[in-house]
Amino acid sequence: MRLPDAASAERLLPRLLGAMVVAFTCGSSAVIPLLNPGRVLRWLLLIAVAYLAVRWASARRPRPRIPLVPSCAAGVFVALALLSSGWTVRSFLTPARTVSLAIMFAAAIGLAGGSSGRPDAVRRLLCGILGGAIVVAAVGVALLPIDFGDAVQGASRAYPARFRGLGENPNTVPLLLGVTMPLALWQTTARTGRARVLLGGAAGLFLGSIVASGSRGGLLTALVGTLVFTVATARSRRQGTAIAAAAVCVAALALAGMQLPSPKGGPPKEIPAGSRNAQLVLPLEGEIGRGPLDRPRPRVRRSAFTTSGRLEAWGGALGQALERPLLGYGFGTEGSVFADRFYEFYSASPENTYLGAFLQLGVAGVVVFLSLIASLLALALRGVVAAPPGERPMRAAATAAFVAALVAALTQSYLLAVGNLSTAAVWICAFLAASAASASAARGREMPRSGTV
Amino acid sequence: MRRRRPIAAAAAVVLAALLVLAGRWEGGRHAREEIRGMRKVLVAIGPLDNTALSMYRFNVGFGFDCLLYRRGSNRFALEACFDRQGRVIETIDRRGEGDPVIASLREHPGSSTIRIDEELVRRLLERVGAPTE
Repeated sequence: MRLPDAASAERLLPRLLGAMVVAFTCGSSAVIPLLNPGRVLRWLLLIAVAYLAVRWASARRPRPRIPLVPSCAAGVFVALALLSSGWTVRSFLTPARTVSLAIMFAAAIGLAGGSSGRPDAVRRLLCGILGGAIVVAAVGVALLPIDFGDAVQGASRAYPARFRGLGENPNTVPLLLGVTMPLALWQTTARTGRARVLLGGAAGLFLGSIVASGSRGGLLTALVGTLVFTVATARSRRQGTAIAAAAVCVAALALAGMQLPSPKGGPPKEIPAGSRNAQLVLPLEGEIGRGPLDRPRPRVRRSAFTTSGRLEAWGGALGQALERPLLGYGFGTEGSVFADRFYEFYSASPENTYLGAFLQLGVAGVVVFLSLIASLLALALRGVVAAPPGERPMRAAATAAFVAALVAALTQSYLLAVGNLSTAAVWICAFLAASAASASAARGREMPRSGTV
Repeated sequence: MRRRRPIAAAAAVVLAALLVLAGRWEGGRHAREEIRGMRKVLVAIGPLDNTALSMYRFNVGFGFDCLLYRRGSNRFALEACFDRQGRVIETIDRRGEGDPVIASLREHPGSSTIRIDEELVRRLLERVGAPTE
């Protein structure tokens, strides 16, 4: 079988990116017939994207510019992650997760290099990611009449019924849709006629799915991405303020809509009197914050502005991280190390990417991780400011997606977990946004020598 | 320039080795502190088969079991958890006001050096009514 050449790779990559987004979603879906094939397909597609992207970038003549500082930072982070195999608490998991991280960064850097200085190529790649997100959202809705029990997570005493679509739980797909909302808005404003209507409908589908899921994190992510995109592309301050105000109003209405369904309520499950099973009476995962043991369990009340126990969980995770502060417990061990002992909190991870980085690789890892983020962000923002008018909305959309993802990382553990459905898409958007700035800077340096204006 | 490359490579190897040593030292120090905390609770419990044994947990988390000991009216006062190899992986002291005092090596049970006879643990679990079969 002949491997694709660079030109074929360029044509294939946008479609592969879209397929990869869908495969990552299926690979962690609650829909069992999709889960097992998705688990395998997602890695095959990631490897294919990485291979073709590097091949495409390598074939460019003259050699393309890649965002050098972020690429080096990514390399150092991968090296540190691999080294942590020497002190990890999970000797198989750390190298395995490091390999997937390395492949993902190779894909992102390769795509950035291959599309460097070529806005059309960047546009097609970003549209590929957006296409994948639209398929995920649409299939999620289509699932409702086919298998309602899979598409909707049933109500419990703590939570109302929540739409989860193709996702593993009601928070996973909304994160993807929130991060890709700026891409949907960009394409809606860039197109005309029927395409504009359809893409506007897609943006509405994203918002509707987020509201139906009850995911406040997804809503915040979408709002932040929308605000960044708006500020960067508004023709005037007045226009920007008006659109931003409208976005905030829509988000407020959406938040109010999320409060409408009620949890099941009712008394807690009866425990047999005199039971000696401590796990029924005082579960290990719900001990801290429960209150005095001689009183009945307090009712968990959730509202738009409660943290779902995150603050207590973050305190616990921080305490664990401070027990090994220099170099952490090993890359990929966040879920194995974090112990959920908190009454109002339900998760196997602390739900904060930055704390997760501290747990995994200590201060050393956090420094490198923040350097990577800062260098990408600096280049991406410079790229937006320096963009020629025709390119600004595209660069703004990719940058807005990354900024939204960084905000989401405050309340979700995902940016270092390649298996998460949003992670690869986020880093690819970030490197594409940063690459635009590198290419602009190169053009700026080359132009006086060539004598062109 | 040519001379700099081997020097840089050697420096990278030395740095990598130092990082691994530092990571392992840090992990060892953490394990020793947790083991110290666990020993304090085991001393407070005394012999595991004493009459204060009040409750159990069976097959929780990744598959460990726990025994709980009463102090006065507090049925949950002292707790010790064991993996299936008989290693003590966690202890909890709930005798004071406020949050429990926890010593734990749940994330890396292999680093616990405190071992208990698994057969004894199984008998004690059965004594308090755990469904061990």
